[in-house]
Amino acid sequence: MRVKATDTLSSVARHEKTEKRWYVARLTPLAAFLTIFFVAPFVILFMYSFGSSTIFELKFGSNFENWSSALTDSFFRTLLFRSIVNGVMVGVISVLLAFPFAYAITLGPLRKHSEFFLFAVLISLFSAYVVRIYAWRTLLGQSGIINEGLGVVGLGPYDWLLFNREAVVVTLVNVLVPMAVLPIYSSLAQVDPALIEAARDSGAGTWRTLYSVTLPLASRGLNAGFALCFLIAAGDYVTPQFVGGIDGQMLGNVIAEQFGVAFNWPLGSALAFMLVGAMGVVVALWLFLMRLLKFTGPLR
Amino acid sequence: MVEDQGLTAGFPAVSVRGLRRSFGAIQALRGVDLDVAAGEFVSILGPSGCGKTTLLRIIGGFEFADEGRVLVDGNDLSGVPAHKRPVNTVFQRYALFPHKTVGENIGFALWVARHKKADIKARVSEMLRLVRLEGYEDRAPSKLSGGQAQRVALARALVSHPKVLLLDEPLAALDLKLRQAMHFELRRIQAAVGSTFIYVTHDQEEALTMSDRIVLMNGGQIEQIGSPIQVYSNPATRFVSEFIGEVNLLAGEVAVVGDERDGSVSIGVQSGNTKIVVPHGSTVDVGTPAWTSVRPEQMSIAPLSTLLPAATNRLEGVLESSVFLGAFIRHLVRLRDGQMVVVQSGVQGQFLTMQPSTEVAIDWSDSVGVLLCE
Repeated sequence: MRVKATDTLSSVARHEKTEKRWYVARLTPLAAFLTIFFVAPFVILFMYSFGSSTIFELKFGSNFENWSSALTDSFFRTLLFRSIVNGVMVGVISVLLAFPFAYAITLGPLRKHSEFFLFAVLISLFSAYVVRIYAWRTLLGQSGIINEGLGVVGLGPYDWLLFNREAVVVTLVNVLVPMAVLPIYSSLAQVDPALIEAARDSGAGTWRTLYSVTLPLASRGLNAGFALCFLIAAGDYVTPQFVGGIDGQMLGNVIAEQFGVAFNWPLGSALAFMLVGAMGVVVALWLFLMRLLKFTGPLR
Repeated sequence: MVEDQGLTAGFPAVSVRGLRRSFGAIQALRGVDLDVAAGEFVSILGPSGCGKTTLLRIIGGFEFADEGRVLVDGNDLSGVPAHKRPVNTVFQRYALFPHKTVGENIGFALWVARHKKADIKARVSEMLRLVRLEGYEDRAPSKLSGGQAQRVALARALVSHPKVLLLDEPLAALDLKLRQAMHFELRRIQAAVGSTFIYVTHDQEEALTMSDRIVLMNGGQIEQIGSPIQVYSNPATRFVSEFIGEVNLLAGEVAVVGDERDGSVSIGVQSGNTKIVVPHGSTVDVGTPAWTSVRPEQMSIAPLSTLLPAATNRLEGVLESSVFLGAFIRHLVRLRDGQMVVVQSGVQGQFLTMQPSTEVAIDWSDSVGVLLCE
């Protein structure tokens, strides 16, 4: 904000007021959009979780049956646990894969070709999600490329490659890893290479430098990358449907069922909010862990 | 033209031998040799792209030489990674860790070396006292001014008492007043810690005010090594004479060579229609093309119409302009052969108010000036 020397105090104050008004005005469109299309449905859905349903209609109400069955039924609990564990695995593996890659193309040996490599990762986003899941079916299936290849050397075919939890995790990591690469890339791209040199200059070897300088400065990207991958993976129901088999089903599949064939929206929304709550706890734990490791960004 | 002095007995603190480094087709260093004595303050001075930063980065271990060696206290550092070298660097844009407090930044090297907490704390406050920032331990680097950040960077680099401190244009981002204050600060701090300082700069004033010796680099090579007075008053090459301070270079050809007396030979140079006499360290063949370099403050100026004293060296021309600069006046004169000459005169002297296009005579003594044959 530039202020002329001739401005009186009151005109400065007026100027500040106008600035503030503009600030609010710029926020309004997005705020309105999110209120109408996110907050409102969210609230309505939450209200449904206290309602009931018959074959023909949904009713709001104040019964806690849906919540008590969601929280106490061991079937739901098993699936919730599986969703969370799968989500955490996908999030952690994606970050572990994305970080070395993002480091190599920002501060590492491939930094001169960062645009090419970043594009190579993003290009996988060009193909539809379902197509990529199908691709994994053809890779891991009984007559898939891996089993065919093993057949050449006289092994297999193995049926345990597909239709289980591991297949779900592998597929989700493949689908979601660009979501981890992008934020980690952008946080590492802002790190001044001189900081890495300064750490080495002070006697820190490769691991010390990584732990005490690079990771803390990349923490925002690590947080965003983990959260994106984890949240999408833990809430997913398409991947388990295609490559999960019976053992690979997650809570998302049951929730989708409640809103679909079962037409039990109240139970569905209770389960959905239970999942949201658990996700919130996991993200909070992640942030706590990052703080514990002192992986925090620049001081203000 | 390398002239080397000031080495004490034993190993030099830093020894650079035959360093070469190319980046693709660009030769950043083309065979550099340098010895720096323990406790010395040496500036590496040169225009951007002269290889000075590459030289510093090779000593620091951030860049590798194609050929040649770096020795610290007689130990070859080839193959020793940056984090194991007994040298520390102050980086150009401070490079303070933004996620650590001032105290954590300064104590970082000690933390890496697993010193005790109390020990680190004591040393950090000692360093803060040294750079005059007592009580700043818990500040965030983003809350520091440029000058303060620079001091913190200096303290961080000095905390483990390095034998050699490398400084890569550390004051470049500061404004003039602050920079001048930091010149004295740096010398004071160097005297206090006793480390060898190697200071890279493109600012000749900085090099002149702070250094024991100046290393002048150009095009990946060392042009001259000497004390500030030596490089200023006795430049070895045309590049040095032009790079340090303002200078008048008069083109000519050696016409007369006098007898040697007290290690100095009087050389007569034919420059256009005038003959110039200049002292030189050795005899030169008659007919050699040569430049005569004379500083503006070594010349005097007077209107041709006044009664002029006898002078060996006199150029005649027309005054183009005079600019009053407070402590002195700067006159720009066009010589009869078209060359431009700058003369500086004190404000106490005569002829302060000459009109442009006045015919003037420029005189200087035959004991000043430098002959540069190339």
